[in-house]
Amino acid sequence: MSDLFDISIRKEVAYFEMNLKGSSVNVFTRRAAEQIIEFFETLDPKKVKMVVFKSSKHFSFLNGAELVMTKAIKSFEDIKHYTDKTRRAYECVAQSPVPTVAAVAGNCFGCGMEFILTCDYRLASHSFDTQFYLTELIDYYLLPLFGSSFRLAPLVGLTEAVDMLVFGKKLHSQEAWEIGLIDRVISQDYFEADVEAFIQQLTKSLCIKRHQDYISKLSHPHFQKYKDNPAVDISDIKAYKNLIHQEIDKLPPLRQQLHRVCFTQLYKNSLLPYEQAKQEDTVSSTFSTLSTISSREATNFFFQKEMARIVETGSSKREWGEQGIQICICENSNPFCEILSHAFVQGVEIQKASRSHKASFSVKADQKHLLVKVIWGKEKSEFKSRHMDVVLYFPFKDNTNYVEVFCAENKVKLLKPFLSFLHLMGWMSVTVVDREESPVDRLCLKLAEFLDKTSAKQAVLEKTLWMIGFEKNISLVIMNWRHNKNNHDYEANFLNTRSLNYELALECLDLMYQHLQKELKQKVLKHESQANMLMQMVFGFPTALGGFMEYVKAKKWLSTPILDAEIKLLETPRDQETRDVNYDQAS
Amino acid sequence: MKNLGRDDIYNRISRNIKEVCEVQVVTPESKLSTELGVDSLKIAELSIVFENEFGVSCFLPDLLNTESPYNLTVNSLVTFVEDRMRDAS
Repeated sequence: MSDLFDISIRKEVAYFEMNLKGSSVNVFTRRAAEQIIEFFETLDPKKVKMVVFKSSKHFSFLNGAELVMTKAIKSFEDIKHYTDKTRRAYECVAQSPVPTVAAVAGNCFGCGMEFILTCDYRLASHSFDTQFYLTELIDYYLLPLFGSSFRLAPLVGLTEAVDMLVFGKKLHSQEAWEIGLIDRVISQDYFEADVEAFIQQLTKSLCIKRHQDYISKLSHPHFQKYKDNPAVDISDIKAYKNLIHQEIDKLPPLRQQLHRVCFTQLYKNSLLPYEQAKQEDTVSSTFSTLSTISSREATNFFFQKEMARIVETGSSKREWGEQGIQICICENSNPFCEILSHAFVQGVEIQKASRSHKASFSVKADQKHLLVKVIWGKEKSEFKSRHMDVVLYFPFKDNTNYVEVFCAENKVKLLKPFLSFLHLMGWMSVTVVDREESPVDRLCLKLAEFLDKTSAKQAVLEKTLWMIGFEKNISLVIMNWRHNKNNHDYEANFLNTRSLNYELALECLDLMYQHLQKELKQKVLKHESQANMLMQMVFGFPTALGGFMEYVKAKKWLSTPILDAEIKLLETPRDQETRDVNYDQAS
Repeated sequence: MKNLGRDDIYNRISRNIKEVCEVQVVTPESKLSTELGVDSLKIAELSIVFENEFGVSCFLPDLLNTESPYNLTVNSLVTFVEDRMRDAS
């Protein structure tokens, strides 16, 4: 197994450069844990005054731990077996006798986020791909295993910790600085030089090792308000707890218990002194919740997403032109261009082009150029793919993460770096070759017809799909598709509907399944993973149930615990005082 | 695609692993995770590659549910593909 870290010592500073061979992203492997433990257990503070963690990879600082590890967990003992080494490594960094610095450029996701929490200082590059995101709960239905449940809240406050961990808020560098997660934001153009200057300055000063309770961060104005209780900065804690529980109530039942356990864990830890919170953070609650939510199915989301991306780009490696990608944007209010104008992406050069209604895209290495037209939902009437080299179609406006890319067959090869770029931006794409109809439009039209026919039972259908686990209100999705808006959240009063109709819901699922099967046969969609991704991205099909196509084909609703959960939920009074979970006994 | 023999399946899998994982040596007993560096990204890519190679659905993450992924070998992949081809025929 190859090393994650290249370790070198220069002028009494140890540099841990992350560059996992053969992978497009850095992942905290078991070998990485061994490297950390070996180094820190023999560290001599007379020879090493500071430790710095950096990445050599474009776009990736640290993208989590090995996902296969979650697939290996089948018992409580497995959690300890597979995670003990990593937990020990993280603790080594947290207990380091010398200051530690995380210089973050690129994605900092999941366990990567938890890793930087163990460091004394956190610097971040001001670039689009430098993002901070706790993926565990939102993407993989996992409770965090490596310390965010007791390290995050003391750093950023309980409310921000809840937003990040329980509700999956993703932050860019500036936002991360504003809440106190990051000590300094550095321009990506001067990142290396400024990080080095910071390190030299720190070594010349008293080389302050941060107090574990984070109280001594006098340089950051955010922490001046903390007095006796660093984490809890909420004036009416009871009202806040009720608010969070109400938000969790709106989530599909599949998610509710997990989110409640996570919130309760965070909240309780935030009230305790750091050392006590650390000791009481156990894995027993994690396992008990893992086994009920079937996390092994949830991690399929990652595989489905990757497979859909590989079908588009042809490889798991991110391929860029020799000199990166140049994107020319025009000076208009096209939202895509607006996003690009803010997108400081490492390795991607973005230039303002002369006034034009088109966005141009060029790959420097190949000397090829493509004309890209962007179509928003309301401009569907202008949608004619043969008039442009490439057309980007966003079926849903603003905050969308799904885009369809139309092009001719002879443009597909040129597109691949651009598709990789779209994926880097966090968008999933489907490439439609030599056709003019949008796969999302076709599916939404089919569903719209069904909803029109069954409109008298709309509330019941919505409630039943919510019970199954759909994270978006399917009626609102269709309405917003028609009117090009983007609010698909379940309304609070929706929960008052108590009837369910599984027959109707399954008829709806079957309709979508049959339609997608036809699209696959006609090669409108190239692979089942694209159909699954479409259902997940557009309609919020829960990843905890695996892929949509397999779920319907195998009639998996017959073997899920949905029916029991449904009855329990309907019978339980919604008493807010009893909502707090004793997470050690969660089952 | 007609049913291939186990040796044929192994040879094709071995060739694809060398290409995707950028390794020189592959044996039937090679451990996927620790020796060949097959991680989550590689599993997703190999799923697509095997589907194109063998003409059957090969969702490799299913394999990870059968036993500890750290114990899986190239032989495990061969058996998995064999089973898929048999089910499809």
